[in-house]
This record gives sequence, C-alpha cells and structure tokens, in this order.
Amino acid sequence: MPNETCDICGNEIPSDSLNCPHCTFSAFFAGDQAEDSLNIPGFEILDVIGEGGFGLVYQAEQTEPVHRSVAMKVLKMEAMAKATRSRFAEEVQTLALLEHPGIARIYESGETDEGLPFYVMELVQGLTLMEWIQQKKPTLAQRLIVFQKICDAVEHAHIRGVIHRDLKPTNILINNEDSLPKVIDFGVARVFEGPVSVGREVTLDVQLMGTPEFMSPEQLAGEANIDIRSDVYSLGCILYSMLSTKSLFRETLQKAHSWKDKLDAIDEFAPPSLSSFTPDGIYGRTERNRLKELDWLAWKAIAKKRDDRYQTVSELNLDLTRFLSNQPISAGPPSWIYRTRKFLSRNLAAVITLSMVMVTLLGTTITTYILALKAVAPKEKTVQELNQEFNKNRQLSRYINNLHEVASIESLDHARTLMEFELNDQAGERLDRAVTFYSKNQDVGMAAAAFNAWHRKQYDLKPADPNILFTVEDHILSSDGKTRFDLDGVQFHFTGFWDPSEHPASEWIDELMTQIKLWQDSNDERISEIISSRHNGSTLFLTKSGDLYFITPSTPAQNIDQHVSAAGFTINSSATGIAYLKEHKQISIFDLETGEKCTVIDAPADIATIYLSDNNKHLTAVTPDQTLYVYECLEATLSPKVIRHTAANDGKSTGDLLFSFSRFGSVIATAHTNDSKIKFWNSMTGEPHGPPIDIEGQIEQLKFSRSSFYLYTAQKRTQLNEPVSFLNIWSMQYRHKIAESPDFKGIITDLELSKKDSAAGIRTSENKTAVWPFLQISK
Amino acid sequence: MPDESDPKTEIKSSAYTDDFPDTRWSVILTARSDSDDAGDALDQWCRSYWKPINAYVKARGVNDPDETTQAFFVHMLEKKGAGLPDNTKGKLRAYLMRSVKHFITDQWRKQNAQKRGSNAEHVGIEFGHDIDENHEQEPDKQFERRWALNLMERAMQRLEHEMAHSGKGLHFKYMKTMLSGGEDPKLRQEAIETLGMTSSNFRIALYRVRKRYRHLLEDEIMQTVTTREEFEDELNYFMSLWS
Repeated sequence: MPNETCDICGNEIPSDSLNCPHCTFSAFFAGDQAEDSLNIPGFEILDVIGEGGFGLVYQAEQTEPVHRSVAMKVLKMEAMAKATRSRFAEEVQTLALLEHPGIARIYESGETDEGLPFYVMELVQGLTLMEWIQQKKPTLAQRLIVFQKICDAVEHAHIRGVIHRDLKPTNILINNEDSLPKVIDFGVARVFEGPVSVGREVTLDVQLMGTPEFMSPEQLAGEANIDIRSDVYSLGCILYSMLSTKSLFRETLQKAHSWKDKLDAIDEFAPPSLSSFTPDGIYGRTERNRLKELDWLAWKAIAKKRDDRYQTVSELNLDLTRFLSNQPISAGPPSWIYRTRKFLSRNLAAVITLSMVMVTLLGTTITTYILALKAVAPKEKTVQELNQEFNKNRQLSRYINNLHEVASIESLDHARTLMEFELNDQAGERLDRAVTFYSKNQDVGMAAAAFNAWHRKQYDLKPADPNILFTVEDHILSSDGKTRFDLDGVQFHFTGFWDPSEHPASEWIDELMTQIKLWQDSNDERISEIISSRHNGSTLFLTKSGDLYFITPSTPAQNIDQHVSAAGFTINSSATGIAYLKEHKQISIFDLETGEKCTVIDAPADIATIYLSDNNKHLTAVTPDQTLYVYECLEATLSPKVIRHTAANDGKSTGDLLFSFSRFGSVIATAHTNDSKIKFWNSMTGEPHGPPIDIEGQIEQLKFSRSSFYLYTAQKRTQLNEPVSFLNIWSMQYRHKIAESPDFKGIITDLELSKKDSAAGIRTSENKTAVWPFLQISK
Repeated sequence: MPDESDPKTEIKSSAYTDDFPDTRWSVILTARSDSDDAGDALDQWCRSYWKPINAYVKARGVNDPDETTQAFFVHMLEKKGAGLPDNTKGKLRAYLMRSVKHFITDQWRKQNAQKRGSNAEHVGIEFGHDIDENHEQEPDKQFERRWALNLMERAMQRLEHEMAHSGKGLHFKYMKTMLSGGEDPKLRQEAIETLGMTSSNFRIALYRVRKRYRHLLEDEIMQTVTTREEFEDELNYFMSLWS
C-alpha cells in the first residue's frame, strides 16, 4: 500500500502509522497554549471553546475597561511566520472597524507573554450554520432568508474593503437569542497571506486556512489578486450546503490523495443540479420543484471563471430577492418562456381576471413584461471598474467607512473641507449630516468634533480665537474629550466622547446649559473650567476663585471644594473620573458618574500638575523638578512609585518631561525635551520596562495609541535656521519606527489620536492642521 | 459514569502499569544486578525496542532478519548492560544504534571466520550488500523512523488504555486518526453524531485528547534522553526524518 501524503504539511505518512509523524512532532513547537499558562492583563481565561486551523479559541471575561464575555483566539506559533506577525496588529485594526449585526466584532488584539498573537472578539453563543440546519430543519425560504443575511454581512465588509477569504459553514454561527447569523473570522485569512508561489508553499498556506471545500479555484491555485468574487464563490458553495445539507466538493476531494489531484478534481468538477444533489425527505414536492429554479443562481455563483460569476455579493443577493418574490432571476437562461412563466406565476390572479377581455390581456401582458424586463436588467459594471471601486474603498475605509451614506463626503480631502467650512446658514444641516455619518461609522472622535461645530452653531457661540475657525481639539480628533468652545468668554471643555448614537444631544445638553446659565445669572463668579460626563451630563465646574461645583442637568450647582488649582484639574479620556489639586499638596479624585469624591492623597512634595490614566487606575503627580509620582488610585494610601527620567544633559538647561500611559496603565512612556531617548516603565514597580527608543531631534509630543500597540511622537529639528517638525509612529512590540510624516514648518503643538487608532491629527504653531488615516502618514 | 458528551470531563491519567514497561536508561543499569526483577525488566525493555532494531536489521539486508534481531536482544540480555558507560548521559537511541551496528559487524566477522578459517581474506558475501559505512544511510534512517513511530505507538497505546478506563473508548476510536491535526470530515461528522456531541464540544474534546497525547509522547521521549535540550533535539530530528 503506497504511503499517503499529509493534508496539512504535505509530508509522507507511513502506511503503518495512523497519524502524520511530522505534524505530531511539530505540534510540540506550536506552544501548548494551555489556558492556565495564558496571562493576558484585563482578561480572565475561562475555557477552550474551539480549535481551528489558526489556533485555539477561549471563552474569556474581559475585566477592564469594560466587563463583558468575549471569545479570544490565540494563534498558533507555527501559523505565524515572523513577517506575518508584524502585519497582524495592523490588519486587526482595520477589521475592528467593521460593524454589522451579521459580523462578530473584533474588539482588540495583542500578544501573550509567550509572544503568541491573539485577538478578542464578540462571543456568539449559538450553533454553527450546519448544526442549526440539522437541528431546526428550516424551510427552503427560511434557509434563503438566513443566507441573504449572511450575504448582507459579507457585502458590508466588501464595501469597506475587507474580503473574508475563508467563508465556510463553520465560520457562520446562528445566534441562540435571535436565530440570526453571525460571520466570524472576517479577513483573518488575509493575515496569513504569504508570497504567492506554487507547489507546497501554497498547499501549506491554503491548508492553514482550513478545508479547501469552500475555496475558490483562484485561491486554491494560489493566485495573488484575490478579490471579492472569491467570497461570492464561497457563498455559492455555502448555499449548496445550506440547501442540500451536503458539502458540494467533499466526496470529490476525499477521492483525491495528493494536493494536485484535489486541484485537478475541482477543475474537472461539474456541479450537479440542486434538486438531484439534495437527498430526499428534506423538502416537500413544491419546495423541491422550486429548488430547480435555483440551479442557475447557484451555478453562476460558483462559476470557475471569476468573470462568469456574480460580480458582487449584492448581485447574488438581488437575484435571491427576485427568486423569493417570484421575479425572474438574472442568472437564469434568458428564455422568453422562463421569464413569462415567472411573470405569470407572480401575476396569476390578474391574468385570470384579465383573460376575460382578450385584447386587454394581450396588451397588458406585453407592456408589463417589457417593464419587468427593464426593472430587473442588472446594471453592468466592468471588473476593472469594480476593482477600482474596491481598492478606492479599501484605502478610504481605514478612515471613512462608508462613503455612500453621505453623498456630499466623497473623499478624505472633501471630509476635511467639510469640517473647515465657514459657519453659514446651511452649516447646521450639513454638520448634522456629518454627525450622523461619523457616528454611524464609529469614528466617535470625528462625530464629537462635528457635533461640537454643530453645537456651536446652535448656541451661536464664537470660537475662542477668532483667527482660527477650529482648534485641533474642536474639529479633528478629540480623543481626550476636551473639545473647547466659548461660553460668554469662558472656556468650555466639552468632555468625553459624545456619541450621538448612544446619547442624543437633546436628552441633556440643553438642560445642562440652562442650569449653568441659571447659576451664572445668580452668581457673580466667572467659570474657568467645565467638565461633563458623556453618559449623564454630570458636570464639575471650577470658578476663577478656585471653588469647585457639581451640577447635573436636573439639579442645581453644589459647592464641593475650595482653593482648587486650575492647573491641576484633570480628567481621564473616558470622562469617568476627575482629579484635582489643592494648594499644590492635596490631590482628590472625584467620580463623575456617581458625583462622589473617592480618594484624597497627600503628596510627598509640591506638585505642579497631575494626570489621571484612562482607566482611573493610576494617578501621576509631576513635581516642579519633574519627578513622577505614580499612584494606584485604589491603593492611594500606599507609597507611590517614583520615576525619574534623567535627561542626558540634565541640570544644564531646563526642559519638559513628557509622559503617556498605555491603555491599561501598566506601562508609562517618558521622554524629555532635552534628551534623545524614550524610556518605558512598569507602573506597578517603577522599574524600566524593555529597551528605550532612540529618537531624532527634540521631542515635543508623546502619546500611546489607543490600543497601545503604537507610540506616536512629534519631534522638531532645525532646518536652515527654521524649526521644522514631524510625526513618527513606533511599534511598541519591536521598538522601531514604522512610519514618519513629511516635515512641517513650526512646532507640532497638538497631537490627537482617534479612539480606535483609525486616524492621527496634528496642529502646528503655524496654525496648520493635518490628519492622516492610521499608518498612512508617510504618504 | 463519565458524561460522554461533556468535553470538560478530564481524561484520567493512569499510573504506569505492567502494560507499559519502563523504558528508562535506569532499567539497563539495574539490569546489572542479579535479581529476577531486573532480568524481567530488561526482557520487557528489549521487547519495547524490537521494531526499530528489526527495521534496521532488515534494511541492512541481513539474511533472516528476525533471527538476527532476536539474537541481538539475547546478546543484550546476556550482557545485562555490561559495556554501558557509567556516565549515561546521552540518547538511548544512539546507544542502541551503536550496539546493533557492533553486533551485526561482530556477527559478520564471526560468520566469515567460521567459513574461511581464521586467516581467510575479508570478503563480505552473507549480507545483501557491503557493510561499508557510506552505504548505511538507508538502514540508519529506517531505524530512526521506526524508533520515532515506536514512541508514537507507545504513547497511543497508553492513551487508548487511559481513555478505555475512563469510559471514553469510543472517543478514542474516532479520535485516534486525528491526533496530529488532520481530520477526515466524514469521520468527524460520524463521530459527532455517534457520540452525541455538538461540533464545538467535539472540537474541545479533541483538543484535550491531543494535548494528553502530546503529554504522553513527551513522557515517552523523555525516557530515552537525559536533558530537556536533548528532548528538543530529538523532536527536531524526528521532524527532519519526514520532511
């Protein structure tokens, strides 16, 4: 008996062995990934819930910044070539922008202590697609409706430039709660895309992704230019499985031993009709007859040549809608008989009635038929046009997800223009549309900015500086939640991310503004700072004389403290906690959500400024001699960790200490304007955390990206005796530079990052503002 | 009775039993003593390595390979570990390979000496091919491949034993061909239906069985080496045998 070849590694399996020896021994190097050995801050690993070609899936509880049940996929080391790993985080960032009820959301990604990449996604409790079909035995129409919802989800991703590449029934789960499908592992296959080659490498890559049963011929052949039509093909195979409860290619593939045999078998495969392929007993006679009408549709979806397939998922979906509403499908043979039959079945009652008058019958039938033909004629687009559209969308999707939703926003430049136009009579309406657009697309920073501009118009507010229409905080990215506008000459800090989809402005903004105006009318004091919670409008405001008040949309102002320093008034970026400084010595932390003061710290030295980390866990106090005291807020009575970033020329000239916390506050990055190093510290121990980064020029700004995978820095250097500045992005994992912006005149005074790492914006001392999609700044 | 469909049901780890004789270096060392137990242990030990030695002997083209294999183990039993260096650092595989090579060479010399007299010229005729070291790549490879497969088989037998004892004999029957990662979809579907599990529960159960199998295999390999580094060397070497 000849030795078999392993489907996974392509090596020989001895005839007297049940398993592939090569895979057996290589499995030791895949890392055990035992759940008890996984240590990922912010997550509690509960159990393994699955194992796939890419790795293991765990059920986990996310404990911070929000508490929720999640699924965590830890990728196998062997599945991650070095080059692939560096692309992983970037790709996950793009995928995180997909939001559709039919797509399991990807929340975040990272690496385990052992360096295994992982990503965290929405936990879907339910059956796989085929389990659901086997258990529920849905009717033909029910199956098709679920299939259409799957198509909707895939189409949503296509519009945003994401191809799934590994669509198969096990990647589709039917939610227990609402019986609606959720597609998982979107675009993950792309992460594993290697250089295109022939032979075993392709085998390895393809096999890594899973079974070839649902893959398009071009994927199996290892072609480079995979496009959305590959997903159309996979959907066609899934349709066969859903309707027949059998896998179209399984039997054929099982007969082929070598990879080449499998490719040849698929190439020669002639798809059977759905009715002959479907076993008896699944459908009644009427449904089985209808099944025949779907043959053309299914065949078109799985055509071997891409040009012969449906060119988009929406075309396929449209044909299904036609089928379900008894209209002729575009994939059917263009015969007069077929179309007439469909027409008659759709209009049988009318035809019977009208047949009483023969002449009218004839005229009406012909007219309606012509109209029907016109109505269903698909708008043809060339593949080139589709690809151009796709590429354009993919590029733009990193910044603006769906250009079709707001017709007036056609490009990034256009979006910028929109945000910079002068306020005029039409401004409110246009900004309102922009708010809707950005909030739908989850760019909350932009939504807040657009809202801010809209709100300014609403209250007829003037910008703080009449020479600048919008400051960077106003109109670009507002990730720290401090968008400012002028209220009777007082700086108003509109804090937190205002998310219109969660909190319609009308709910509390007007009431809050009314309360503040009432307080102003009855008091003679001036307000210097106002900070509001984004959730319920709970607000703190500070008067010029240092009195701190708490106010809500429904309750009048209450004085809660005195002698508070405006310089030491800080809020975390999620706008849930505020820290303030009294007389340079005493630091208080105030919970904005509950309206309670929760911690009071007596600082060991005079403090100049304070900073609260996003998750409220760490409070950093900076002394005038630029020592950092890092407190864990819950353990504020304990001694703080002391961090001193000693600049190389420390003592010779003064300079500023810059620092930024990672997302969960476990790492602090520090830099000094007189030093050329960025240093990293463990906030729990105060010890150095990994190697420093050497930078060029003088650092002016330092910020962790929202995910903390990247660090953004703004630096300046002198060119022809003039200062020029530039922005860098550094990989935290590899501690090297991954992107650099062009030079700008002047100094970068503001650096803002969007909430989802989707964009970065700067403002310079020359009043120039610029914004880039994530990782695109070198372009 | 354990719940057949519950993937969380742990596979109970069995202690070493007589079904799975100890294969450690120490067996050879204790064999130097004269106790009966030591003799029995060495006997069992020899049986454990029958297949790789036999594969080597066959690849060398020795006439009547089974008898020669048997003779080799008789020789080992008689020797009772004599000639083994006190310092037992190193791989058991290498030690056995050396031993069988010496044994065959000795046998060959003895046969030639008997046929031609003590002064006869050295000409190889009884072996299928010359015993020139340069031509020994294939027998070496046969020995080493069989050695690795032997370890896999032993781990598999222990897994079967454990699963049968914890009421998961049927699980083993379906999963035994899926331990290295590959899955026949048809068999998998049949297993899911027969075992009354959901697809995801089956996946979890299979994950745990694979993990246990790796653990047992690791234990088998560790018995033939003395350090963790050697263990990893062995894994790399075994992988190279099939790539």
